[in-house]
Amino acid sequence: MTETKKYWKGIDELTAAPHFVEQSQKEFTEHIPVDEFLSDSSLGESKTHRRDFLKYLGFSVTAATLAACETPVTKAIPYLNKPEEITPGVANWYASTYFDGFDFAGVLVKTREGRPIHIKSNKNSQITGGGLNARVNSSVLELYDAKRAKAPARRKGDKWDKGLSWSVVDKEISGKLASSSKIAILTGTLMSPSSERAIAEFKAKYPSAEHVVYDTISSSGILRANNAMFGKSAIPAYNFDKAKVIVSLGADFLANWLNSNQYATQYAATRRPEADWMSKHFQFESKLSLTGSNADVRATVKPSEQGVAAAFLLKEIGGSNAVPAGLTDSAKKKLKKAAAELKAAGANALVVAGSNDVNVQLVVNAINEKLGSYGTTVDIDNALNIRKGNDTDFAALVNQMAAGSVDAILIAGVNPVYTSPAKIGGKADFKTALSKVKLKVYLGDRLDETGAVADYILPDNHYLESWNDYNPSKGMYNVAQPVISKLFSTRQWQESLLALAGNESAYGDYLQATWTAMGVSSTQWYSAVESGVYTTSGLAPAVAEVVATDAKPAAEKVEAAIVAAATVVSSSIDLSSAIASFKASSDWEVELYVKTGMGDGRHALNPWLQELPDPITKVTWDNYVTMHPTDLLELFGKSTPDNYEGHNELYLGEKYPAKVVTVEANGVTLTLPVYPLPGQAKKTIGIALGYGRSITEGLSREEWSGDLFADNKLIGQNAFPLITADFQYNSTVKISKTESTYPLATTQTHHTMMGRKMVNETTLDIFKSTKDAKAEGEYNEQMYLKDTYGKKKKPEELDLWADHGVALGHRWGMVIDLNTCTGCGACATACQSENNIPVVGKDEVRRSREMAWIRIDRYFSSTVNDKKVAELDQLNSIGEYHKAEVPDDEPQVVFQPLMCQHCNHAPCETVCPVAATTHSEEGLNQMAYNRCIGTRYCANNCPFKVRRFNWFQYDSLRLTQYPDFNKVNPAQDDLGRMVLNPDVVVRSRGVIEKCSMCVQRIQSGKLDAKKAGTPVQDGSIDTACSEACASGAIKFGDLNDKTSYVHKAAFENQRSYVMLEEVGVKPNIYYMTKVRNLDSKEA
Amino acid sequence: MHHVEADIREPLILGNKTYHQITEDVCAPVEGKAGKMWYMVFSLAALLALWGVGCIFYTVGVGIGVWGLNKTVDWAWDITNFVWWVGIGHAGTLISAVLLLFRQRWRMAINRSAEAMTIFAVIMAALFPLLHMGRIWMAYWVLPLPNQFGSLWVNFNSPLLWDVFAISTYFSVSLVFWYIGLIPDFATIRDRAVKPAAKKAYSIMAFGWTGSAKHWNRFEEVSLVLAGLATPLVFSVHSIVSMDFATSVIPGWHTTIFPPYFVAGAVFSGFAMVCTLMLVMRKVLHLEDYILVKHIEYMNIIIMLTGSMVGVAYLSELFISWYSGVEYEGYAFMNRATGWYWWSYAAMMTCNVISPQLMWVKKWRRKY
Repeated sequence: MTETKKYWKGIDELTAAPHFVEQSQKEFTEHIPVDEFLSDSSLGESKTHRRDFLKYLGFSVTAATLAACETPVTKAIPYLNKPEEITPGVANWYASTYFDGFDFAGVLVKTREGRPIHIKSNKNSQITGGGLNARVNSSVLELYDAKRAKAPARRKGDKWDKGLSWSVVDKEISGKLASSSKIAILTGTLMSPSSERAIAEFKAKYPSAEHVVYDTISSSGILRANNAMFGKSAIPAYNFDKAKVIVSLGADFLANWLNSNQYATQYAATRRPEADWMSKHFQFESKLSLTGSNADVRATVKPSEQGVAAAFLLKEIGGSNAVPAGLTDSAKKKLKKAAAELKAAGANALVVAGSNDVNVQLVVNAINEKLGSYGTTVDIDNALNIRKGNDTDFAALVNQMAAGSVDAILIAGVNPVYTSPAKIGGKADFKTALSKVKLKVYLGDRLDETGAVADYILPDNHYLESWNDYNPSKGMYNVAQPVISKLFSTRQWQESLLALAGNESAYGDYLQATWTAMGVSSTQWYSAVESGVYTTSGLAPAVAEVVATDAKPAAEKVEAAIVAAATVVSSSIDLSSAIASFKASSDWEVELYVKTGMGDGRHALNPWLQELPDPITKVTWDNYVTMHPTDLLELFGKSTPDNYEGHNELYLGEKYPAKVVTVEANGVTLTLPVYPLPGQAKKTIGIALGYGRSITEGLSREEWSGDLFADNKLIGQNAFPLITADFQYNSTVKISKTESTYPLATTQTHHTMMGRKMVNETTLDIFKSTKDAKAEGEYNEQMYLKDTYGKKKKPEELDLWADHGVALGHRWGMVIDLNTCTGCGACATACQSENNIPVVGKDEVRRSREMAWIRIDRYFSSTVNDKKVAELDQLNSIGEYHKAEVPDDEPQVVFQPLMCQHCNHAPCETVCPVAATTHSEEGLNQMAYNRCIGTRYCANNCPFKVRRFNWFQYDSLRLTQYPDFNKVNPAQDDLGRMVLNPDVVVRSRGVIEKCSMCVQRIQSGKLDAKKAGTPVQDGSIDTACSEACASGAIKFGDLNDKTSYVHKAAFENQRSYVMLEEVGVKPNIYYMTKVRNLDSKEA
Repeated sequence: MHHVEADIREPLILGNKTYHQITEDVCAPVEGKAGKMWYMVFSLAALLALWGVGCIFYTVGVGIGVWGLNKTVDWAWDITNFVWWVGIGHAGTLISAVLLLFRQRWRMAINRSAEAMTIFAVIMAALFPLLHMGRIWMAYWVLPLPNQFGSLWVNFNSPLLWDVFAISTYFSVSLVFWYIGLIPDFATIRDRAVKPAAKKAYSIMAFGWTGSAKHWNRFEEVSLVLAGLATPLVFSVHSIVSMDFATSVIPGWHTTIFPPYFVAGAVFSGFAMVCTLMLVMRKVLHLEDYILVKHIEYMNIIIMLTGSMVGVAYLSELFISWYSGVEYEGYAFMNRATGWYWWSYAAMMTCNVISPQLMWVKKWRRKY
């Protein structure tokens, strides 16, 4: 059958009959009756009269003009040639890595039509797993920051020559470097083989160059202690997932301490009461931290008592050391308890300390060693490279600079003018020292504090525009790849270094070359780029060598001075001098802490993070002094907070500004508002770092700064200068009151649950011993109401309406485990990024108009609640209500993420006059923005208060009356709008919005399943919040799918309950009772 | 003029007036020239109205955010104004409809002005639900109009929609009632008018009224029919308005006592407003012979009665909030009475519950 077959339409064709051939030549087989038309006699008579000429002319011109007019359209330009990898409407995900010297995380970047718009965690990351905090998932917005430096610039007197070309600045700077006899390179921790190689190459070209590593938030204490004990200047790997007992001395490991993204995930794994064991967590700290608020047992110790507490613990677990004086009785009692538990847990115990004091860390190491934790919960052999900065090196450099012996300095990735202490090593401040350097090249991304005093700015790329490789731990490599072409004329700083060293290669190629030199095949390289991670048992020495050049941080020469003898491992290390250095102080003390939103301050221009409420205080857009309420009232000579008057004194709200104090420490004076924070150690204060950046000028509304900060219109105040000369984050302080007040924008003005069951909680022993938690009197007691006939009925049975059919098809819902929720707020920023939620600014937040679709309610415990409410069964006077609002001095804390509850009997749906909010067949409470006329009745009638109203056109530049929104909302300028998710509409003014349960994701997940021809698999659809939750507290799924996690958790787990059950709204969001690892008697 | 009342009754018109005198007196304010004082007061009122228009432009132009509301208090003075304006309108309807049915002849002196007050009050009331909308330009969507938006229709479950029907019905009935009552008056003025333009205008408005017995007969019948239609409205309109709250799930709002309480409150505040206006009017327009102390007294009695009803309602609310055992209700009322806005609550109790009780004393209720 090799012959080509022929088909024919008829015999005529087959035989090629002449008439057929003739016919086939014609265009029309039938005769076209043109003659009839043309023979119409009247046609010949028609003619255009000359007098009609103007008419026709007029018509033609008008028609042409009209045709040329069209309504102005916002242009969407289609691809002329479609890029192979981009399908309009379909997102591309790229693996990358985030590391800024403070946070480290493997990320996946979502790009739409070439624009990065969303960041989620890379579950493949060997180090962070699923962990991703708010700072990292918000970092995508910083890419579109119009205030970044857009091209190299050179200082010219007080002004800048901007927009220079790279070749010009390269030539000028390398010329100057060549004549410099001493060059310093100051960077943050790198842990990057290629960066190290680039620096090595730079050093080869300029042999006088010295590389100094400086961490803005220093971990030198741990590095030194480990160097002293183990000969390794390294951060050990902490395995919180193996720790049955965790004692943290001021380490905020769930949010801000070292590799917190990893720790949060690990910690959550140990907090499931259904598992065989649940970790027990003790926290001893001065300021109520996020970690402290999640602890089972928490006690306050002053910063100066941290060492004492460590020594006390060591003694209690069998050490033979002395214990210096200090500590309250309550703290001692809890420390004893902790010590007993630690001993019982043995190798599965873990003690960590947040202090940067090498002596504290030495004692903590000794405790861990005594417990046998090394090898299980602490792993010094697989150290983490995420902190390398050595304070002593930095201080030495600053001294050299001040002495004028440094000719040139290149600063990359850090902002030391802003972040360094007022006096470094007891002498100069960084800015003064820097002014003595002849050539100051700043490789940062903008004209910030350091940039402002530099001679040259070689603007750095955003990390989403950069190549990078990281080696966070032995055998583990991460790759960062650019996901968008550079927006401005920037160049990543490593490439700039190479260019100055005469190597013109692109950094991507350079990176690959490094890896090739490390012995990685190109297949492996591409797979590493694709997955973002690369794990190996060991790489070729080429890399090891490069890493080694840095692994020998100049630390060694410094260590000698601090811990003279101890260079080798030993538990026999003499701790007596270390312990002798602990002196509890009775003065006021300050502890500088890092806020969950702002980190070390590099995110100051990220409005998502500025508007993210602090997990504990719920304050946005400011830093402040945290002080115990009693202390605060005493300072201002008022009554105690137990009474109504005292409570009113401390209330913060729209019309109730905060009191203001002056803080003096370390030769620096700050004037800051005070936040009364229960759980703060008495006679201590806390101040958040990362605020008061010069680049935030004008971002807060001036009228609300009042006279207080008239000459300083920044967001918050810079507390970095309060760091002591030896890089300690706490010191004694002098506090005086002022008469001023200052408005703080807080999203939660209430402190306690006032005896209600918003958050249901119990203790582990009760949980374990309870068979039927729903039974009467048990911890998750079923609520009953009485019907007209006095019959007890479940609230959902008392109903006037027919139910929405929920049995068939999907029924989307969520289960939120209050036990694992740490309250970090990563879900809130992820939601903001996914759903184009506008930022409204401090003044609007102050008026309770924040737009966040998900909020995390934080409640403090109150003994008034527990006792009096229980005794009285209900509150009978306003005074009692107010007393119930007064939290305990050392309260327990609960967090509750709250978004639209997607009620099956939604009160909002019935009241909308135009049916703009309706119930979907799949259990969603949906909002048709286009139909909404903005009566706000739905928001009034929502028992959870989760509906948000667009009081103004928050996203528009056209609103000249409210120029402030331009300043605070990234969706305002053209560049900022690039971050918007094209799948979600931007809401106009006058409409209500609220959590949609990421309906766009549900829809796309359903479509994917349909295309695949399978039912929707559990876990294949994730909402932004559940995806962002490092601890897996928020889970999304189909409640009708019997195999799904949410079905089992909501309907088969004893801990599940719904909020405000008595209202009878039948939510689709279920909560799971919080279980504290406590004995009910000690609780 | 002959008195038809028994001697034991006080006369409804003083001064032994003839029909002509009455016509002269009543028409005087319309036909006479406005004084300086009138122009001054009118200018002031016009200025205030202009200011209001300016505020409306500002609100609509910039956004509802300028009102200072927030996400827990999504309605504030817009809803209070709405309820208040609807409420005071009720006095006019009550006077013209209910009292007509009960043949209370004393209403004649005040019914026209009370009805006028109703019309303007309802217009004012309708303004607030309109203005409070986030997108006022879409306001017509609350009407069940056939449309091109697919199957979109209004939501008949929503009390706000009931409001739309209640208010629009109330407005149309009140307007017709008021206008029909005005026809003979227009005819009178038409007959007295000397300027041709005025004569023309009034003759159009008078619909060819001749005052024949047939006209009067029809007039009475129509009045009765309209009174019959308007009477249920006195009770339904504010009941429906109250359902904005009563049907919601919000503590402090979710209260079944609201419909009767709102109606009583409406009549109460409405009569207070009529009283306030009449006291000024009878002096300024020299109508002391027509609007007598007797009228004031009757109205004060109604105020006393409805004020007491409202007082009972307030106390019931407090009692129920305690008796129900719902802590949210308890807190809502406790906070209302003794929280930060205690002064406002105290003022309300003083003016609405205590001050009407003074009217028990005949001397006080006849004193003005």
